[in-house]
Amino acid sequence: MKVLGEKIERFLDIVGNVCEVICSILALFMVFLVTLQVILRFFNMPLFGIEELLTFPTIWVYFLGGACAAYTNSHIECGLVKAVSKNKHAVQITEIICNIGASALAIYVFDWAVQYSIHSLEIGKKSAVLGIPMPIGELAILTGLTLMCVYTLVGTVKNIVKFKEKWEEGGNRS
Amino acid sequence: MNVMVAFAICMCLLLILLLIGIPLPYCFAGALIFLVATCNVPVRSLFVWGYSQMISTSLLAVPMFVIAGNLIAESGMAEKLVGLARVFVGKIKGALGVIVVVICGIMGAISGSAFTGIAALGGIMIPELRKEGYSRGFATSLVTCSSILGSLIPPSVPLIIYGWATGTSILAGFLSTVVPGILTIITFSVLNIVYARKYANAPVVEETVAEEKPKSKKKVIIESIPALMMPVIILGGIYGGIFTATEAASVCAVLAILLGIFVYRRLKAKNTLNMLRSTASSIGSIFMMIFFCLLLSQAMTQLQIPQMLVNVFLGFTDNKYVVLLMVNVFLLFVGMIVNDTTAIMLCAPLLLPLINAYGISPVHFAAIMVVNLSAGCLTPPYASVLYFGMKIGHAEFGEMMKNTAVFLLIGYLPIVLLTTYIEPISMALPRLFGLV
Amino acid sequence: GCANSGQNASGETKSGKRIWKFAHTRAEGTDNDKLANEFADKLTSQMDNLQINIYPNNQLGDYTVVQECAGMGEIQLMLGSMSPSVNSTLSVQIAPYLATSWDEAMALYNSNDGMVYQYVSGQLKKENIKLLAVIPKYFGAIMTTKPAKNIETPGAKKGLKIRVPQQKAFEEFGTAIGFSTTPLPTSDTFTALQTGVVDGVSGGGAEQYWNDYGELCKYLYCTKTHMECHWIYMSMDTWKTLSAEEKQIVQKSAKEIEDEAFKLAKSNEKKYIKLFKEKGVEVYEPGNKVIDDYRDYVRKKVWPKIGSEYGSVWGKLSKKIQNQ
Ligand code: NA
Ligand code: NA
Repeated sequence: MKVLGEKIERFLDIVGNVCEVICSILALFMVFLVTLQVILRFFNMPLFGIEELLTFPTIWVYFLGGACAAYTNSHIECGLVKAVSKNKHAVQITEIICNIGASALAIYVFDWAVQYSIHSLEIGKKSAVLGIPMPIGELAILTGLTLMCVYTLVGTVKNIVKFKEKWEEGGNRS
Repeated sequence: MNVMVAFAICMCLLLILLLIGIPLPYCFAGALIFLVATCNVPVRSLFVWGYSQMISTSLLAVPMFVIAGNLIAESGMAEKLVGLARVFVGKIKGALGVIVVVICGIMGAISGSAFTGIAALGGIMIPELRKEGYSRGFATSLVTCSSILGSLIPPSVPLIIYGWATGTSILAGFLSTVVPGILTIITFSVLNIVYARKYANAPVVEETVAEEKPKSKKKVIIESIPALMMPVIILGGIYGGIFTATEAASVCAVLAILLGIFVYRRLKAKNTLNMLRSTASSIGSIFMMIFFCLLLSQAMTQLQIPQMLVNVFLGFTDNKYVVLLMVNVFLLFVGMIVNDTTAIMLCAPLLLPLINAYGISPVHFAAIMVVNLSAGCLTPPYASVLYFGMKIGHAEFGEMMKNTAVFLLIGYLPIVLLTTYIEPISMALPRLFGLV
Repeated sequence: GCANSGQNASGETKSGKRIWKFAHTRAEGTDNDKLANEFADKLTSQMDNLQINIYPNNQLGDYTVVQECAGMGEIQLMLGSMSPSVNSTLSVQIAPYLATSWDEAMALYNSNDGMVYQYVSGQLKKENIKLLAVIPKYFGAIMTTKPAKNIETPGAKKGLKIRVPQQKAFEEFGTAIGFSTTPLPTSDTFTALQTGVVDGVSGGGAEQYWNDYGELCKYLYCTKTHMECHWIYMSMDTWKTLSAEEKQIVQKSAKEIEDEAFKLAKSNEKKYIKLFKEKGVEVYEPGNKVIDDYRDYVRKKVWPKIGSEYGSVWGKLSKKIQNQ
């Protein structure tokens, strides 16, 4: 059980790192593409369809970036208990409540993303200028939200295990 | 369920989720799930709509400015500007603090968000201020608070988002916060001088300059020229019709890369890659929030909640100033719990019909929203720039809050009120340029 | 009670009360808004248990989004442009120089036997959408902030950079008649024009330019670049829930709106040009000779290049038009 857990964790580490690198590359690519268009337009020869092409890396950066943020645990939160309370137990319990709440919401949202993606594949739109199949962009939403959901669930399980271990430790000592 | 009741419960739910500490994207998702379930908003079409909004070119300004801001911070540009300023005013008491505020303003004219100032200046200026006898808390607060000039001085991400969300001219919006921005520079500088005269008791230090190997004035000036050119290129480019605000951000990023690699030689493969990886996380965390926030705000539009709110208000008062006061309080509150971009996405469509109904210009309202919400990155519980500043300045929450409160209450609140109630402060410049 | 409680996606509540979302793309108080309201009133007054909520100004998304959502059955009615994103051949309805007079336009677009109408209607069925009426708007024009050179000669260089809609046909067309072109979405056009990123706009007509870029316009060239029509359509899911009698009510009302829209479009042609002139805008209204030159030039130079975009209908349509 523990070995399996470690394997999963290592796998998710790799996925998280890959996401970060992909996002970095895409982000740089976007910066250069936009600048290129500015330069080309300045010389009166803008490329047709750059704006449209740009939408694809853009949506992937947003949603893979969301996965990265879940992986590095840097999604923004503004809990009062954490900011105010000095009681470690209270903070830990609130954290677990938050974890469970976030997991439930993540699963609900994941279901929405699945419905949307099915629709996207069924309707099979193409982009207006370049004729790129739209699911190439639209599936970023499912990918990102799925990874976010996975990282949120794993984080929750980890926190509960940690809490349980501490709890038992405390129980043994007394 | 009655839509207004559902709306009220939805807002309470959102607040509860936020305050117990659930990550923000999920908080908005939770509120949305409630609306969808009680008022039957169709979800797939919300997603279709959401996708079309997420890929808009105006929204692209946000990641572009995040990347550009991080690159500027890494590129060593700020240091050169500080060097230049020191050549002229290095030894006057309190001058260093004024330099911080002014350079935050100049950085604001390159970058689009409040993060760049503290990221680019915090690391070098907080220790310098400490050497001149500033307390850690005051020094960190000064840089952190001045950082909000990034949102007030154009180009500005919150104003791009406002223009996009409401169909208001982005260029007019940019100009509407210039005067409040300059007033902020003045009040913060004055606060700093008062503080320096009273509390910064260490002798005016000359060793600081002596410590470093002395550079000739000429060299310092020449080195700072490329950094000084940046605002000229960015603002000149935008108002000269060479590029849009979004494109300005990417041009800015490319220039920062070129300067950082070839001129200031601070960008190396390793630190750049690490920076880009953390950029991915910050873009992601912002955009997940934006995505669900957009969906929530669209669900409200579908339920025609903004119109209902207008009717509630119109039944309550026909005094424009009462409404503005309520809007002020509401926005300051919203600013406490979410960041400026998200707040605009959520509130602008909600409040715009109200603003129209009371005959307030959308450009004036742009200034009201942005000036109000800019303080939001300094006000807990969600105070992104404040927390970031604490980390960089190694300051405690307590000492930070005390000084930040002084800046906000004495230095900034008057500007918020002036901008809200005296229309020409925001409207004069856009009028001058013929944009309204 | 709640206006929306217990409503399913196709707009029916458990109590039998129907609530439809009716989207359109123009601001409140515009002609389209008035027509939408009129159509909604006709329906609600003749049909039982029906409430129609109108969402002006792209509130439910732009025309591409709404069309997709109507196909899903999550928006019930729409008045706006036709989106080619699912079926690119639908952009045939906006091809340059299909018609240069109201009679020609009427013949092609009317909902009884118009060839374009019938094609669009047939194709929309595949998207699960029921076409109800055409709302003709205007002949396309080009609006600029600087004077264009050689405007009388179709192929000559005009010396200006204009925005074109993001469609290959418009790019080919814009370039062929001597402009340098930049494809921009409608949402970015205002800023681009204001900052001088582009010197002008194509793909719209006097009415739209007046509403969207009125304050920026200095020159207006009414060369009848294309015929712009909007359309009223209904989600097929909703259409199928109607009784035979209700279907007839809907179609009859739609036809009445269509007839009114034709009259309105004709009278508006002069109205907006007059408004522009009063504002000091230099309006170029070419005579028949120049329009014919443009028409023949575009049909000869541009049509062969863009025909493949429109699929099999193009052969029949272009033959029919050129035989007239
Ligand atoms: Na700025
Ligand atoms: Na805050």
